[in-house]
Amino acid sequence: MDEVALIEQAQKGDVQAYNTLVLHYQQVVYNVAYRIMGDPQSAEDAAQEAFISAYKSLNKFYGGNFKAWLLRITTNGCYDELRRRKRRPQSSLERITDDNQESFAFLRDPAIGPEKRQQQMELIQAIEDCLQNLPDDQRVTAVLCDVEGYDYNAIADMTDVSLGTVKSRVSRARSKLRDCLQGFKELLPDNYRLQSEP
Amino acid sequence: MFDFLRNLTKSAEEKRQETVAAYLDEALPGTARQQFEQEMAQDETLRLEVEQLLLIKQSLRQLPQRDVPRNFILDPAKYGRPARQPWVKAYPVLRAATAMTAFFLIFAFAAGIFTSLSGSEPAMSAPAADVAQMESVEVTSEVTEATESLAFEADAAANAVEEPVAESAAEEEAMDEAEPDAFDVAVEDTAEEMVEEEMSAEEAAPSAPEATAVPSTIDSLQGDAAEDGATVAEPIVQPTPTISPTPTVSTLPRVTPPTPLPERDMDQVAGGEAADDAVAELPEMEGDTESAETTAVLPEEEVEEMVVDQPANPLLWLQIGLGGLLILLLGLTFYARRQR
Repeated sequence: MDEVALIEQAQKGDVQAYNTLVLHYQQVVYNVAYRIMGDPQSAEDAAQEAFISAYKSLNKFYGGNFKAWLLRITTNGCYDELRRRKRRPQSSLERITDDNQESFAFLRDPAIGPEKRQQQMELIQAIEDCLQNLPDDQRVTAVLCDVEGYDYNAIADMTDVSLGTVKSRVSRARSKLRDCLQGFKELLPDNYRLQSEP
Repeated sequence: MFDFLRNLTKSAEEKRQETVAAYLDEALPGTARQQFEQEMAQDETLRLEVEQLLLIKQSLRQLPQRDVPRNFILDPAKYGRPARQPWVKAYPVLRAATAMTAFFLIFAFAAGIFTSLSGSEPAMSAPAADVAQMESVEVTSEVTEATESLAFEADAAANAVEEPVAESAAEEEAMDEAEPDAFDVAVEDTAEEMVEEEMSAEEAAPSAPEATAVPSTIDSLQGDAAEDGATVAEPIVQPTPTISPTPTVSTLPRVTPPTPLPERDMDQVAGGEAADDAVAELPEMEGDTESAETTAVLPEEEVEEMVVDQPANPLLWLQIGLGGLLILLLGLTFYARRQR
């Protein structure tokens, strides 16, 4: 995929070229939105809004990392939605009735027994719960850094904060996650349990 | 930018956690990393903390990716941008052309103002001088005509007193060459009547002065002239076809006799009072001057045509053209901008 050519065509109004980019990046965008928003429906809305917003402001993209630019739009959209939720709190039934569409393909490994598979699913759910308990800014930073694997500079560029702020948020987020996961010791690996029980 | 201020307010524990996080993310510089590894080797608690955080980081990194519930592609019918119209593509050109036209228009106005301030008077003096010259010629011709007619009438009246019959006959002969036949007949009738009346008056009152006989003669002659007024008035209305478009002061009154001759003949017959009548006739001469003016209007119109035919100020036409072009370009530019 010639990303630069597709971007240029999309900037000239070629929706098909832009849709090619959408198909390429929609997985990443949706998952980041899901980690930040915490529920599939909000993540779906946020991802769609991010792609529409990116298309409308495509002429403002002057080159560089298109994925980072796209994720920046996504995180900003998620921030806006989270602020909106704080002003008008509402409970989401989606999370309650979530049938968990995550790709647990690795759990379908026949070598993994049913009990082990269940433990891993519970551990994933525990991490996600702890992630959702983080403050918004720390959660976004943790998602971008630990889940998506971006470096500090990229995160600082995406979130429009300084490098020191990113470092601070990452360290605080990890400390809070560690404290949160203390409540799920039985789900953690043995070495974690041994280390956490000096 | 203000990270150094943030570092000043951070506690030792926060700084240590940030250093651990940076070590896990491989964000520590070489010397700081070696120093931290040495510190970690000596501090077991620090090493355990680093291992726990590394495990959390790995757990987060291994979180499974969720499948997208649907494609987020955009509908081309809804979000597709129509192909830009050719003239919309020319929006920058239109904008530049508008700016240039505005600049040239301002320049043209400035040049017009400068020209009017410095060199407009010589340019306008030639037509104005022509018009003034034509007006002076017109007025001079009117005055000369009136003066000569008055002098002609006065002389004719004086001659009529001395030699009324002979002179009138001589003038009749002279006028026969220039006047139409009908006019000659009327003059001959008048002369014969004058002779007969004078003869009868001399017979009736030989001692009476001529002056007393003159009024009766004048009255009779005026009555006759009034009877012949219909035929006399016609030459007055007729324009003088021999006036040249560019009349000269010396030739214009002489070529065209402006006043009807029958009235002059009557004045000649009337004697010395004819001069007063001629003076009293001055208002009537205004009618003649009007006719002269009508004859002089033709050259004036031609003068106006000459003025119009002269090449107009090109700067004015340039300003008008640039103004129209600017309005057109402004409209197109605003329309193209709206279509963008």
